[in-house]
Amino acid sequence: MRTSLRIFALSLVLLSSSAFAVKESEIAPAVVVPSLKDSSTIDLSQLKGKVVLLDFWASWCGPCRKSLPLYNDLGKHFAGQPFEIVAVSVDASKEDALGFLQKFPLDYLVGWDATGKLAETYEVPGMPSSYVITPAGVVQHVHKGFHDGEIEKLKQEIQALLPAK
Amino acid sequence: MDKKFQSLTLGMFIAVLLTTTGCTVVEVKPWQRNILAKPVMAGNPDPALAGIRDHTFFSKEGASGNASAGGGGCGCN
Repeated sequence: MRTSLRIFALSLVLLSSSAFAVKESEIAPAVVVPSLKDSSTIDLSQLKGKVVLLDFWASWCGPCRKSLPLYNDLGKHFAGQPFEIVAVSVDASKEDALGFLQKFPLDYLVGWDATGKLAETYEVPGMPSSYVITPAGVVQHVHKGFHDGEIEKLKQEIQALLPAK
Repeated sequence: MDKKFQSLTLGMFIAVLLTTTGCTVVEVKPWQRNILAKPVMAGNPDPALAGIRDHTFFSKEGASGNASAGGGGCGCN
């Protein structure tokens, strides 16, 4: 009977597991995606020691047209500091993502989550969604969507995690 | 109660629970919208054209607001 109860409890956990989105103060799940700019691989674990802004975007996402070019300025603002922007496209078609990059050139790391597995792991709450990750690899802030004043908010959050000059 | 019977009942309950999830509506996740997000998939892809058609329709019918279900279809609103 005890075994049956264990199986029952496990099945309930499995059924509800898809609802576990990555939240603040959780360890950021591994990110290993091919780059959209060259043949390299983007690996979040290699960015340990840096503050990372991980962003999920798509060419069909309207607010992404606004947010991604603004991240270029964000990168410039924190130039020379241990900070990295990783933008991951969830486009099903690589051509669509590359077409977007031609229209909106981006100065930071841009990867491609071809199967949507990574977005599923993070259980991305909306498009776009961004995660501010500490140098230790912990999710500090989660941003759903892109609203007015978001860049200023991000600047403050990133600055707070960077070592004092 | 017989131990075997209890286990069988529980097993059947789990089987039913697992199969019923197959009947639920599959939710489209934010990152899966891809084709659904294209303008051609909009319920009203050309608002201007829809407005013109609407105008022609209610001019012909002699009633306004008849493009939707509002008013219960009496044509009096």
